[in-house]
Formats: sequence, structure tokens, C-alpha cells
Amino acid sequence: MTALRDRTWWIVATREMSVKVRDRGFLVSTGITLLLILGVLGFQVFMGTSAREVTVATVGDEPQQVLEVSTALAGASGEDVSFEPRPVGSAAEVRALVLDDEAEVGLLAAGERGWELVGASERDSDAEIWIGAAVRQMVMEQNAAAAGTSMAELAAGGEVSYELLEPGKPSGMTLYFTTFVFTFLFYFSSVLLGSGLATSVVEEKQNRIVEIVASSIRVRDLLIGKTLGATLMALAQIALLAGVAVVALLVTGRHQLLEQISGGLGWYLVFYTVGVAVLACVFAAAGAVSTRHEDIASTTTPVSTVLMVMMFASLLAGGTLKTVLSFLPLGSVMVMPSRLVSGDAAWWEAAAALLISLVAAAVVIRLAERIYRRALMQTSGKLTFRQALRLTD
Amino acid sequence: MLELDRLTRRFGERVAVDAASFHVERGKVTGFVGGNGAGKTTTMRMIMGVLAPTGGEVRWNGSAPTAADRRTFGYMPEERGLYPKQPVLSQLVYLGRLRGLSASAARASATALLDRFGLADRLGSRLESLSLGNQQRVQIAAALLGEPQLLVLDEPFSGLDPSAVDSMTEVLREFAGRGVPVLFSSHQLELVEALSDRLVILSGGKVVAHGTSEELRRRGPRRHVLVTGQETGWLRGFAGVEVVEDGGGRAVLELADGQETADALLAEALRRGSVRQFAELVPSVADVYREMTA
Repeated sequence: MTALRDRTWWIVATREMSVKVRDRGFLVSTGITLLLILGVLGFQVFMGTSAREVTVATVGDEPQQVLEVSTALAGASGEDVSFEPRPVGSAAEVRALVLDDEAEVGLLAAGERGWELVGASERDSDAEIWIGAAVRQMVMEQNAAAAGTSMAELAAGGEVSYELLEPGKPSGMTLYFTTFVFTFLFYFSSVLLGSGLATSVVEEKQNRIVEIVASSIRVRDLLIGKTLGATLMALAQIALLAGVAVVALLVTGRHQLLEQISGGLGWYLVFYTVGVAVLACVFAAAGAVSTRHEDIASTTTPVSTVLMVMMFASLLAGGTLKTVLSFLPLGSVMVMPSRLVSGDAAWWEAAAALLISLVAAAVVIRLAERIYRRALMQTSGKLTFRQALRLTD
Repeated sequence: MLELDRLTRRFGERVAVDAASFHVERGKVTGFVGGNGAGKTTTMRMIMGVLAPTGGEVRWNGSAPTAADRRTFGYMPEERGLYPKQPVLSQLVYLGRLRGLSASAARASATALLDRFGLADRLGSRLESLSLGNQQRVQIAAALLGEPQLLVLDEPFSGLDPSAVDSMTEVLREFAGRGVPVLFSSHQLELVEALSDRLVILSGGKVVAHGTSEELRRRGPRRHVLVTGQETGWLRGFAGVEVVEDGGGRAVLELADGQETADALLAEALRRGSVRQFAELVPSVADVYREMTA
């Protein structure tokens, strides 16, 4: 048994990784993506936590109680809105303050009818909802007391409770959201992996070091090493990004979403890892038919197109098509986990889909090896996949 | 010892190498000569296992070379290339590791070679930042990593600057001196003749001649030159003599058999007047090559 560190494919993989972590393009793209994720989360946190303070112009101190109740009611419903009174001398002064934008809204007593909100050109929905609710509650309490009863008595027997039959199961929406995120991540990794891996495969051919390498080791080990290196780097990159996102969610107190998807997360990760490996093999094959960097765009296009079609199909498909997709390599990454989490598929179906993916990966890498070995000495022009397979060793 | 036995390679209808048989002995520098398209590179690629033969076989110490054997072969391909953006030392260490050396052995070997070629202070430089001459030296070092048991060098002198040519020459002699079989190709005939113990001439994919340069020279037509003080027209009727060219008292002759004809010819010439020169013309390897590949 050769130790791992002396295996040729592992030596190739470590070189790939060490070259990649020094690659400026890779570092910059990772950094930018990281900043983007943090930016989006930061923006949401900012939007979510920024408390709104509504200044309400009033006449005298009487409306202050109404505003306190309004703030309390909004708080009880999870809204971070507070209503601050700005007492002035007269109704005219209230209107003047509102027109001068000194106060968002004015609150005036309207005699028998109750109260009146005053705005400049638009209604303030927070004021309308919470001040309205506060006034109604206070008036009802007064009226109930006057009638010799209480709010509790009036509301008795009117409670509606909710029993969840499958409380642990994620909702259709959560499932859809999770699938969408993973499908997107998968597509994103293909972009990260794709041309980088294909370029690295064609690199040796183009700078002709390939003859020295091919005279020392098997071409298959070269391709396996490159594919493995690229896969590990893509996974590490995604893990870094996902880790940052999870930490950010936890820090900002959004546990709920995480708890909902954590049950199926294992399946998503397994399929994701296998999917990225299959993808890497396909891109290695695309690199193998290319002779120079310029060819890569055209040889990777079919792969990207297939992936794009798969992605839309997996998000839109239902019924039999969805079941079929969940067994196809690449398609299974996007469809099988959600079928599993929703209880639509049994564990053996998952195992079968994984097996199919792994077999496909092995077949593709062998095919890539054949193409690469045969096209090794082909230094001019781009081969078609068919031509490459027709060449002899 | 490396042996090629009726090694053949076809590309579709075209036969690039046609039943080539020769051997490269231990401790001998073997020069591999032939024009462009003669099949030298294809032959070397088959020796290195980069290209599969369509017929015949390569033998290393009597049997087909294994992958492990080939990892001990030092190879310099005709189309040069290394990783332009990787530092010199780290890429040589990588190539050494691919050839089965441990990390520390690869590092030791690469450092020693770079030191030898005067690149000890450039270990961490990217290859592309080196001068062309120094890049060639790194390429030579790549072929010599570890203790190669066989050297296969395809056009090792092409594109070298004069001092790199000297380094290369030294390398060939040194490795042959250690008992390593060395095979190198070139179309610079004078260089091949000066450096090689043995020569293999390839033409149209076929080995047309192989042997020591002495043996090869003998295979060429044996000619004599005769310079006399008078006309040489009489030679045309002389038994056993064919006149290749003559005029102005100088004639180049091809003698049918050995010493008797030469003796008789010289006696006749002396009888007719003074003889200024009578000598055997030893063909150069270049002459033999032209003759063989014509």
C-alpha cells in the first residue's frame, strides 16, 4: 500500500490546490463573494433591526396614553415601532408641524367620533394600524366597563387554537427555498469550477509539459488528481461561504430557518458533494478535448447548457419528470434531496441515485482519459469529442 | 540496455516509424540522426511510453519496461515546456515526486541540479522570469532529476545558447561515464559525430544504418584520390578502377577490390610521371548520412 502522500494522483491534487490558493483570481473572486454575502446579510439585519420612531404631534397630554398603548401593541406583534408624542398648544400648531415634516403624523381629538389622524400627503400605515388598534382597545375597555362587563368576558369562547399534524416537517415554501438555494449553489460551483478546471487540464497540453508528466505517470492519475484538487477547492470555498452565512444567521438571531432545513441538510450536503465531483469530471473531459485556452469557451458550453436546462427543469418539473430527474447524474443533486425531505422518496432511491452519479463520474473520467491521451500530441486546432475518440493511442 | 525490436508506428495510412531495430548500450552516447519527419520524435515517444507502438516492442534490460522503469528514465521532449508561472524549485520538486522520489529526495536532487547550472539564487523565481538560456537549463535539470537510468533527449541542443551547449555536452559525457545509456537526437551532424559513440540513422521511418562512426564510415564507398603532374585520362581504361571525377591532374577513384589494384595503380602512375598525392578518402559521417538517406 502506497501512503496517500506518495500516490501520484494525490501529488497532482496537492499541486493543483497549492497553485489555486496562490491564484489571485481565485482569491479575489472568493473575497468578493464573501463580501457580497456579508453585505446582503448586513443589509437585511439593518433593515430588520432598525427601529422606527414615529413622531406624533398632539394637543396636550391626553393622547400620550393612546400612544403608549400603540407602542405596546406594535411591540407585542413583533413590530419595532415606537410612537413619540410631541405636545403643542393647538390643532393649528399640530397641522403646521405635520406640514413642516417636524412630525410624521398628528393626533387630534374628534369629539364624539373619537380621534383623527392628520398627515401631509400620504397616510402613515404604522400610525394608522397601531394607533387605530390602541384607540379601539381603549374605547372597548371603557365601553365594557360602562356596560358592567370586561374585555375578557366579552372575548370568552372566541379563541382559535392551531394543531400541527406534522410540526417537524418543513413547509412547501421552506422546501422550495432550500432546493432553490442548493440548486443555485450547485450552479454557482459549476461556474467556479468549470473554466478553471478545464483551463488547468488544457494547461499542461498547451505548455507542453504534458510529455514529461505523461512519461512519468498515467494520464488517468493526472486527470484524477486535477479533478480531485479542483473538487476539494470548490467544496472548501462553498463551505467557507456557507459557514460565514450560517454564523451570520446565528449572530443575528435567525435560528428558525436553520432549524427548519437542518433535518434535510445532510442529504443536501451528500448530493452536493457527489454532484460537484461529477461536474468536475465532466469539465475535465471538456478540458481534455481542448488544445488551447481559446477552445475552452466552446468546449464547456455544452456542459453549461445541460446544467442550465437541468436547473430549470428541476425547479419547474413535477410528477414523473421530477422522479426521472432525481435519478439522473447532476439532476439528482437538484431534485433528490427535496424528494427525500418531503418524504416522497425512500432511502434506497437516494442510494441508487448516488450510485448512478458515482458510476457516471467514473465513466466520464475514463472517457476523458482516453480523449486526453489520444489528443496529447494533437497540438493544432480543437478536436470534436467524436474525433478525439476515433484517434488511436 | 535499451533495445528496439521492429518498432512500428502508424498514423492512419502513414507509417511514421517502420520496423525500427537498434539498441542503446550502457555507458554509450548514441546519436540519433535523421531529417525532419524521419520518425525520431515518434520513436522517442514510444520509448518513453507517451505513444503506443502499433507493432514491435521496446525492451529495457531484456523485458518490456514497466511504469516503474519508465519513471527512472530522464526525458527531454522535443517540444519544451514547464509551468511558466510556478517557481523553479517547486516545479522541479513536483516533477521529481511524479517520478517516484520522496519529497526530500526530490528537493535535494532539484537543488543540486539548479546549483550545478548556476541557478542556486533563482530557486524561488517563477520560470517565466528567467532568461531563455536559464529556462533551458531548468529544462535540462528536469530531465536529470533523481538518478536517471536512461536518458532520452530529443534535440537537446536545439535552441541552446553556446554555454548551455557546453553544459549539455558535459551532461551527456558525464552520464555515459556513469554507465547510463544515452540516446539523443539531432540534425547537427558534426555535433553528433563529435559526441556519439554510436550512431543510428533514420530515414523515412526506417533505420538505414547504425553502429560506431568508424563502422558507418566503412559502410560508405571507399574512394581514393590521385594527384599527378600530368593528365589522368589513362585511368579510364585501367582495370578495376572507376573514375568518379577527374581533371587538371586530379582524379577521384573508386577501386574495385583491395590492395592489389591500389598497388598496381600507384605503380602505373609513378611509371608515367610524378605522383603528388595518393590517398584513401575517408568519408565523414555527413557523407555517409547523405549517401544513406539519398
